[in-house]
This record gives sequence, C-alpha cells and structure tokens, in this order.
Amino acid sequence: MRLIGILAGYACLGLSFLIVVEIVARKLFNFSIQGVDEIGGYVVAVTGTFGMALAAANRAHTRIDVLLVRLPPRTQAVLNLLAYLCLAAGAAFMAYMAWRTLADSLAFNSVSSTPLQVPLWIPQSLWLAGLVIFGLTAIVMAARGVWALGQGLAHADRVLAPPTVAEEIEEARR
Amino acid sequence: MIDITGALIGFAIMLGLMFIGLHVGIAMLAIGVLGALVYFGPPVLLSFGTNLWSVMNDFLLTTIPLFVLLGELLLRSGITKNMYDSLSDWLSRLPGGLLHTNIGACSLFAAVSGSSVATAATIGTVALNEFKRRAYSEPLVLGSIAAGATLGILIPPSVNLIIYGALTNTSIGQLFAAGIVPGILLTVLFMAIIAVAAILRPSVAERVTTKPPRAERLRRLRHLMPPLGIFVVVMGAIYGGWATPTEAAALGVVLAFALAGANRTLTFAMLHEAFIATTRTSAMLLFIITAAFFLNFIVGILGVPQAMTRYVTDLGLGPVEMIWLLVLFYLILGCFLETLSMMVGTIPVVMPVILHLGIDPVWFGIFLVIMMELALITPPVGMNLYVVQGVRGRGQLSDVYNGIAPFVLAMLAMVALIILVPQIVMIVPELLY
Repeated sequence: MRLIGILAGYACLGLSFLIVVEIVARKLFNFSIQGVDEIGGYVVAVTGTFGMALAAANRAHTRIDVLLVRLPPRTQAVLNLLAYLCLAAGAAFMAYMAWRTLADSLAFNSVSSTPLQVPLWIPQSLWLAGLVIFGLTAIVMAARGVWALGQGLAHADRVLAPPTVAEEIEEARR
Repeated sequence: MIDITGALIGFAIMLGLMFIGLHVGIAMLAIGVLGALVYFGPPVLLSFGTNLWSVMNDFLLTTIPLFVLLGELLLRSGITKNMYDSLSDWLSRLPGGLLHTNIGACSLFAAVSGSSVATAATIGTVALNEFKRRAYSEPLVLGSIAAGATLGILIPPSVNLIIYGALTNTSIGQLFAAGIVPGILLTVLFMAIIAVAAILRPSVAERVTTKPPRAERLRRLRHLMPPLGIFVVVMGAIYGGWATPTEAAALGVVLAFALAGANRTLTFAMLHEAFIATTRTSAMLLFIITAAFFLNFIVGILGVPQAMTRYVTDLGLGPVEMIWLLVLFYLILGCFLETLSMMVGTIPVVMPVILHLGIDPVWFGIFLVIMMELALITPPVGMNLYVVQGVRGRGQLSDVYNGIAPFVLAMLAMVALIILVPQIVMIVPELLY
C-alpha cells in the first residue's frame, strides 16, 4: 500500500516538472509539448483510483462520527463493518461502470481525440485496475475487522473505527 | 419527475446514511442509486458510465493532487519555526502581543497549505511551545490558533474552492480572486478582536518589552520569503495570464521542492511521507467528488432543480432572505457534518435555487467557504477545536470553547458583511475579469 502512495507521488512530482517545462518552453521558445494536460488527466484518474485503495486501507475516507461515537460499542462495531462492506459495494459499482467504459473503448478501438492519439484502453485499464484493488481493499478491511472482533471490541475499533483526533494529529505531524 | 417532498426525503435519507457512519461518498452514491431506481429503473444508472471516465480524467482535477502535494512538501520543509519567529518580530508589538503572530502565521501558512487540520497541528505545535513560559490567557491562545487555521480554505489557492468550482462549473480563477479580500479582511478582524481584548483586559496578554535589534529583525525577514514567494508566484502566474490554475499548482510544487532542497530537508524518507499523504488525501477528495458528480447527474435527471426552484418561487423568497435562511441552515448542519461533506452534499439541492434567484455563483462560493470555516470552529464537530486541544494534550476542552467564542462572533460579522456589501467579494474578480 505504501508503494502505491510513493509511486503515485512520483507520478505527480514528475507531472509537475513536465508542466513547468511546458510553461517555460511555451513562454520562452514559443514551442509546446503536446498533450501535457491529457497526461495530467490520466495521472489523476489512475493515481486517484489506486489512491482510493490506499485511503481505504488507512481509514482516510471521510466518515461522519458525531453520532457513531455515542452509540453502544457493539452497535458501533456492526456499523463499522457495514460501512466497509458498503464501501466495497460502492467500489464494485464504480468498477462495473468503468468496465463498461473500457469494453466500449476496446470494441471501437477508441483513441483520444488529441494529437497524442492514445489508445484509451491503456489508461482506462489501469484506472479500472485501481477501482478493483479499491474494492478488494475494502473487503480485506472488513475481513480484518471481523477477525479483530474475535479478539475483542477494542481491537476491532483500531481496525475499522474512524481515526481519532490524536491519530489525525499524529498523521499531520509525520 | 420528483416533487419537493421526494427531494427532501432523499436528502434526509442521505444525511441518515452519513450519520450511521457510512463513508460520505458511499452515502451520496447510494442515494443517487436509490433515486434512479425508484423513479426510473436500472438503465439510467448505467448511462452515467462514460461520464465516470470524463469526471475522473479531467485536467482541472489534476489541480487537486498538485496543491495537496505543494502543501505537504511545504509542511515538511522545516520553515514553520523560523517563519513564526520572524512574524513575531513585527506583530508582537501590537496590543495582544504574540497572539497576533498566531493569526499571522496561520494565514500565511494556510494560504499555501490549504488544509486546516495540518495548519492547526503545525502552527499549534510551534506556537504552544512559545507560549509555555509566558503570561497569556490560555483560552485566547488556543482560540486564536483554531480560528487562524480556518483561513486556509478561504485564502487562495484553496482546494475547497477548486472543488466548488469543479462541481458548479464556476471559474477557479474568479473564485480565487474573490477569496483574497474576504481572506485579508477576516485576518484583520481576528487581529482587531485580539487587540480589543488586550486593551480592555490587559491581563490576557503580557507586554512585549524586549525586542531584537532592527538589523536582526530585517535579517530574519527572509524566513517569510518562502511561503510568501510561492503564494505570489502561484497567484501571479494565474492572473498574469500565463498559466492555468493547474499549471500554477505545478509551478508551486517545483518551487516547494527546490525550497526543501535549499533547506536541506529534502530526503527520500521525507519525500515518500509527503507522497503517501498526498495520494491518500487526494484520493479521499476524488472519491467524494466523483460521488458528488454522480449525485448531481441523477439529481439533474430527476428534476430536483425544477422542484426546488418551483418551491422557492411559491414561497416568494427574495435572494437576500434566501441567503439568511441558508446561513441558519449551514450553521445547524455545520454543527454535525464534516465541512467538505457539508458543501458537497448540499450543492445539488442548493445550487439550482441560487442560480434561479440570480445570486452570483462566485459570491456564493465564498459565502459557502466562510460557512465551512464557521463549521470548523463550532462545537460539537468543530474539527479545529479538537486538533488544537489534541496538540495541547492537557487541560479541559472548555478552555478552547471559551477562547473561540469571540472569533466565532467575528466570523458571523464577516458573513453579515459580505451579505450586506457583496462588493467585498466581487471587487477583485470584477477588476480582473
């Protein structure tokens, strides 16, 4: 999972340098590298879906816990589990739509309508792969939650409950 | 076609799903699916399929990971302490002393960081250390940090404004321009509150008697250059007309990267931590944004905009009355919802009414962000209050509540001000565009 974050980060850093080169080339030499914006779009789509898996594994997807933390511990544990199962279902729904998009691109041999003429199945299959990993991660999280329940409610909380403020500060200071 | 009752029931179900702890993005997807199934049937759902790709592969959204990365790099480049010291050289002579430095440091840091939790945690750590051996009213110290840290989502470049712009098709450049004057005004208002408190009750802040020699202060001024410089380059690039907001963000990333290199804080370990945090945060945002686009799409074909505008027309509310009603609505909602969820979840129902009443979407974006700032510092869910208390690590949360009260009033005054004098928001975008 850390690897996803690191690779995605390099992609964003690389993209930044590419964009800056493009600005300088355009301003000083009146010359444009074609398609930087298009590549930027692919980078955000692909790092985005893989990143969703990372965010799920780190419990970073936003949840509202104002009511949740006031419920009895058992109810909380059930709702935490339900949240991750629904997250997996949501990821599956998105992946299904992504699959249909990819299938269309494959059937029509679609290429992007830009000078780059990228065959769309390339970025789209990576994008779909990210969504599939996202869904699998949510399922793994739920399974880990069930496993942890066997060791007690406190254990399960550390696996699935929304991060506490202390954990968020810890994260921000790292 | 849906009627107003149906739309409101749907909205209530969505809030319910959020409150039982489902992920916010899932709650929005689920209510969209439910609406489509109840009123149309499965084929409508699938018609969104191709939109999913175009939503996620939008160059405008590239701006988000880049601005997040910029903030993360800056956070780790080791500039905070020096920046704080240099600001205190100049600001601590005002009545209220070092308290002003909190506001100044927060607004400067927040301008480039854009995350209020990161700002509150970072400035909080440096500032609370400074205050340890000094005689200041503790609630006011805590309040000034929590309030100051909200400025980041208003002062451009702001990720929240980008998300608002993407969802409502409003120009990011205009939104950024519109955030400048209210951002500065709010900063000044916060400082005025501190000054008034210090004059009325001198015991809240100790007088700063010794100050470093002028030459020393001037020399230390260079510590303000990095954040200020990045801010000027990023904003200058957009308004100089030679870069789009996305390109300006990339420029900022490269500068922050160079800055960390110059400060000798650039290591692989540091870079990788920044990368992981960036990927996680941007993906979290992208998930909510994607869900919001989906919900917007369904809400559109369900005819919610028409139902809402018809309802408002029947009520006979004017634009100003509607805005005051929304102030109340967002104040209440902000007590319970996380801020971004509050914005993204309400846009599909509120935006049609706003456009119908002829309210400028740029103005409304700024209004919405100020309401979000308020939500960040109003109990029981004011995130900044908890972060500041968490960094402090001792004492009672009620100290933070007491300290934040005057700043909440200042922010409410700011809301009233932009409603009564909309030009505060609109003057810069109108000059530039």
